[in-house]
Formats: sequence, structure tokens, C-alpha cells
Amino acid sequence: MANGKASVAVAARGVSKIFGSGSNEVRALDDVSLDIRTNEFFTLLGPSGCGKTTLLRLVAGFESPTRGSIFLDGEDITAEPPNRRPVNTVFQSYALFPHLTVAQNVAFGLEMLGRPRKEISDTVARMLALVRMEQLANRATSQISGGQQQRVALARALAPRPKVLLLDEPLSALDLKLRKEMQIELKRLQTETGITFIFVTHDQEEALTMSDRIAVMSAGRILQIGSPEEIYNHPAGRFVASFIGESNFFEGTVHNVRGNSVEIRMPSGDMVTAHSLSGKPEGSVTFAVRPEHVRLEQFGTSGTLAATVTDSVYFGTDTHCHLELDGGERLVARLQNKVSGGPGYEKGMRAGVRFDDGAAQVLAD
Amino acid sequence: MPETGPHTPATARRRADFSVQKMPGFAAIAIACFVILYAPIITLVIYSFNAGQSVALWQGFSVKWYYIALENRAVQEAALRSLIIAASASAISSVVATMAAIGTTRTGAFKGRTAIYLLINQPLMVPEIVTAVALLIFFASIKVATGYGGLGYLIVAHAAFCVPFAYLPIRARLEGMDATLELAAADLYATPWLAFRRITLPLLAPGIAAGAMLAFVISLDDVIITEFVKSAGQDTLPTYMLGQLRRAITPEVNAISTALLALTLVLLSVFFVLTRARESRSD
Ligand SMILES: Nc1ncnc2c1ncn2[C@@H]1O[C@H](COP(=O)(O)OP(=O)(O)OP(=O)(O)O)[C@@H](O)[C@H]1O
Ligand SMILES: [Mg+2]
Repeated sequence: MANGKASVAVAARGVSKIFGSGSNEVRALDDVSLDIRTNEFFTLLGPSGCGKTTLLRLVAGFESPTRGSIFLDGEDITAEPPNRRPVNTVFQSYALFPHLTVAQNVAFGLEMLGRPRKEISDTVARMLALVRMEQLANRATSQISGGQQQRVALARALAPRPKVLLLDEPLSALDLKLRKEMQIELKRLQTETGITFIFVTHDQEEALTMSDRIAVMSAGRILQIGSPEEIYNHPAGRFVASFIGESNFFEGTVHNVRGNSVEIRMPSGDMVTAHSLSGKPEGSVTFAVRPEHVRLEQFGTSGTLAATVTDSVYFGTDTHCHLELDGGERLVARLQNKVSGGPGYEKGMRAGVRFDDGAAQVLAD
Repeated sequence: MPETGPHTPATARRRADFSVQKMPGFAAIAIACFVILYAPIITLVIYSFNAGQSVALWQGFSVKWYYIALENRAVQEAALRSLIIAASASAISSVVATMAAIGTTRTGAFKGRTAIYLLINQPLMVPEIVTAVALLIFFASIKVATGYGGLGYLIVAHAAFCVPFAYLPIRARLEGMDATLELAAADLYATPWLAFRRITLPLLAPGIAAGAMLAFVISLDDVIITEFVKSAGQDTLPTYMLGQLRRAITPEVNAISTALLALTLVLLSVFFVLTRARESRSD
């Protein structure tokens, strides 16, 4: 699906957005460029205040960029008002029209487009069936639950068949169970309709499970774009590595580079082979290893790093072993529990630490 | 816990001692206020049903003064004029106030916003007598220039001082309204005009109705500006009554006042229902 030839639905080129002026200046977006492909489920992921909503509002047309341009299907839409962009939004607060019924809400966009009455009623019926709300078509929007309002907001935004659907943390107001259900529902809707989704969240798990590709943002910049596997297994920098999942960080000096494979000498003198995303790292570098990619072996096994167990915490499915290398670095290993019990490493024991092949990842910063 | 236990009743008692209702003279002052506020009005209403000629000496129950007032041509004309002026002023001022409210709540912060608020609320701050004199002189020169001498002057004057009264409830409702709804409408292909017609206006309607109602009542009641601006033979009900008081006072004035009071009470009740509806709808 994600081959280089896939056509681009939304593109941003050098987009900056500055709010306020002088000493109150807030740089919400800083020189952002990205390509979102047709039919993909694209997620903007990042901590609060990193500019996700701002980027979405620029695509919807509610704000105009201070610098840069936005393209839709190759056409520059930077100057178009929201009502002339074939893009619809699912608002975080849903923003359902309180004086209209469920069906009237869903019909609104089609009416504004001047579609024939027959087509409108057919589409509304189809959309309500799609989100399983047929029974409540004539309810007032104040008389349905939060999850149902969410579905109506989705149906309303999908009814005019936009080229791109923008979703700003649409699930954050729902409780955990409903949230899981809606995650599956959203993914189903995206596959069934074939519409490009741009989805905003600050929940990394949501991003990993739903997306075709993820853009990780921080402080108005895009740090990395890639598939969930790429982002998780090969984080480009320290921020991505710690924001998505957990990571152990180590320092070392580059000893030898062969393609993507880098040999790093740790301060203790031990050698570790790490994976590098790009460029030719040299000098001192940081690399990251996921806790579940750390294995413990008999102390003294060749090729392992000598360590002492400082703590061992039982978590049901796994046990978190806190360790200190003889070089002084601290790390956590997540070890799978068996029916027979835990991995058997207790506080104070000595162990040999080994990283799975390809688990160590050189970071760019 | 055992530490705070013994303190609680004492604190509670002290708070009760400080309650305003328990202060000496509270009841007496409250009653005095009610009497001063309402006794004159109650007397006025009672004497509108007096069978005799006096507004101070009770001579039995009758509704004859209502008949007399209703059949008085001057009263009929003044009442009709009052209603025409109030209705026109209310319509004009609520349209202006709606535009002003949208302009001041939906545009983000802009330079001179405070100046705009002051401008809109000018009639609340400039003494009415000053406005009245200013309008008298201003309209006199227009009258000379154009030769027009109709009700237009009164309508314009009333519309002007009614704007802030219409503006307040409309603005309150707009501020309580989720601005994302308008964005959602634009997102769903509504032009700015259609977004206003289909979303903003229906949601704003109770506020506009409340503003119009308030403006109507304020216009109906005005004396000072009307007295200065009106031409000969353009009495409204209040100025007619003022004229009557200078001659012989009969319970006819009481009857007209009571009718005016009743109308005002009905309109204000509707106003409260409309503003209450806003509070319950917005959550
Ligand atoms: N209208 C505005 N005026 C001034 N500053 C703004 C405005 N909108 C956003 N900002 C600022 O821009 C930055 C990015 O905001 P944005 O809403 O895009 O963040 P976000 O990533 O969506 O965060 P969250 O996860 O909390 O929704 C923030 O620092 C915010 O304070
Ligand atoms: Mg946001």
C-alpha cells in the first residue's frame, strides 16, 4: 500500500504558524513539510501543545499559515475558505447543531452543497446505517449519549464524501471500553469508505494500533514520519524513542560503520552492534534499546554485559528487572513470565545482559 | 479527627450568628423597603378601580375609568402612537444590536474594542436630559432642511437609546454559544450567510427576542426624550399622562398606568422565560 508511487492527498510545504506578536509570540508550527497519501490512515502524534490541532485547522481552512502552502490533490488551497475545501472535520467537542435532529445534522453538508432531496435522504440513511444509528435518526442531539454523538459527528462529516477527513482527538471524551470499540469502528469506516483520514491523538497506543503512518510532532516540528513498526523499532531521536513506548538509553563511541550497522564501544569497553537509520554516525553517540528486547543470561556468558539486578517487579504477564551495568548505566529488562513462574532474577543477583539482534538503535540527537 | 470534633459546632454557631438574616433590624428594613417600593404602586392600582372622582378617597369599586380611558380619543391615539414607536424602535434596535453583538463577539480581539463598547452603551452613560436637548437641536435643523415632521424622529431617537438594552441579552447569548458550531457549518460547505441563517440565527433567536422585548418596554416608558423630540400632537401615552397631571387628576390616569404596568409585566415575564431558556439550553 505504502509504495513511493501512491498519490498524495494532502501536502504541506514549509508551513509555519505564529500566533500573537512581540513577546507573546507563539510559534505553533515551525517549517512543517509533509505528504499524506491518498486513502491512508495518517496520525499526528505528539504531546499537548505541539501543534497538532493547529496543523489540522490549517488543512481545514480555519486558520491560514503565516508562511508556506497547503495542497490538496496537488492544488494549492492555502487561500480557499473552509466552505470551499472538500475536507470535513470531526471536532473534539463534536459540535453537533443542537437545534437540529440527528438526521438533519447528517444532511446539513449535502444541503449546503445543493444536492437533490432524494440523494440527500438516501445518503443520510446510508450514513446512519454505516455508524449504526438508524434507530435514532429523529432524536434531538441532546438526547443521545456521548458515544452516539461521536457516531453522528462521524456520519455528518462523512456524508458529503470529503476527499480527506480530519479527526481531532475524536475519542478522548469516551471511556476506555467505548474508546476501544470506536478505534475498531473508525478503522472499519476508513477501510469501507476509502477516504483519507488525518487523525490527531496524544495517545501512542491509539496511534500504533490504528495508523498506516504516523508523524511524531514536538514543539511545532515533525520529528519523524513512518509506519508504526518503523517508528517503534527505529526511532530517529531521543524524543521519539521515549515518547513512544519505553527505552533504555546508552552512550558510546562509534568504532566501525558497515552500512546500517554500527559497532559501538561502551565506556566499559564492551562492544555493541547497533542499527542506524541514516547518515554515517561518528564520535560519541546515544543508542536506545527497548526493555522487551533485553535478555538476561548466566553471569559471565561471553558477549554479554556484566550487570547486577537492583530490583525486580512482578507485572503479571511480565517481570520488570531493573539492572545496573558494571559501567554504571542503569536499564530495565522486561522478561516474559511462564506458567512455572518469573524469570528467577532477584535483587542483588549478578547477570549477563544481551540485546536482541537489531534491537540497539542509534539516535540522531 | 478528635482534635477538630469539638470545634465544629462552635464554628457553625458563630457562622449562624453572622448570618445577615439574624442581624437586628433585618426584618424591619426588609419590610420598609418592600412597602416603599410597592405600596405606591398598589395604591395606584387600587384607585384605578375607584367609583368616585378622587385618587385619594375611596368611594366603591368600579371599572368605569377603564371605559372612560378606552373611549377617550386622545388616549387611543397616544396608545397607538406609543405602540408604533415602541414596535419600530424595538425592531430597529434589535437588528442593530444583533449586528453589534456579532461584531464584538465573533471577530477576536481588535483595536478599539473598548471604544466600541462605550459607543454602544452611550445611552446608558450620557444623562438622558443631555441626549434629549441634543436631539431636539439636531432634529430641529433637519426639520428646517427637509420639512419632514412625522413620527420618524421619535422612532429614530427611541431606537438609538434602546440599542444597549437590546444588545446585552443578545451578546450574553452569543457568548454562551459554542463558536465551533459556526466553524462546523463552514466546514460543511455553508457560506458565511448560510451559516448565519441556518445555525447562528436560530440559536440566537431567544436572545434577540429577549432584547427586542426589553427595548419595547424601555421605549414604551420613555418620557424625557419623547417630551423634547415630539412635535405638537405627537403625544405618547406617558407624555399624555404627564400633560393630564398638570390639569385635573382623575383615576383615568391610574387606569392607564395600570394597563401600562400590566403590559410591561407580561413582556418582562416573557423576557425572563426567554433568558431562562438560554441557561437551561446551554448545558
Ligand atoms: N488561537 C491561538 N492563539 C494563541 N496561541 C495559540 C492559539 N491556538 C494555539 N495556540 C498555541 O499554539 C500551540 C499549539 O497549539 P495546538 O492547539 O495546535 O496544540 P495541540 O498539539 O493540539 O495540543 P493538545 O494536545 O493540547 O490539543 C500551543 O502552544 C497553543 O498555546
Ligand atoms: Mg489539540
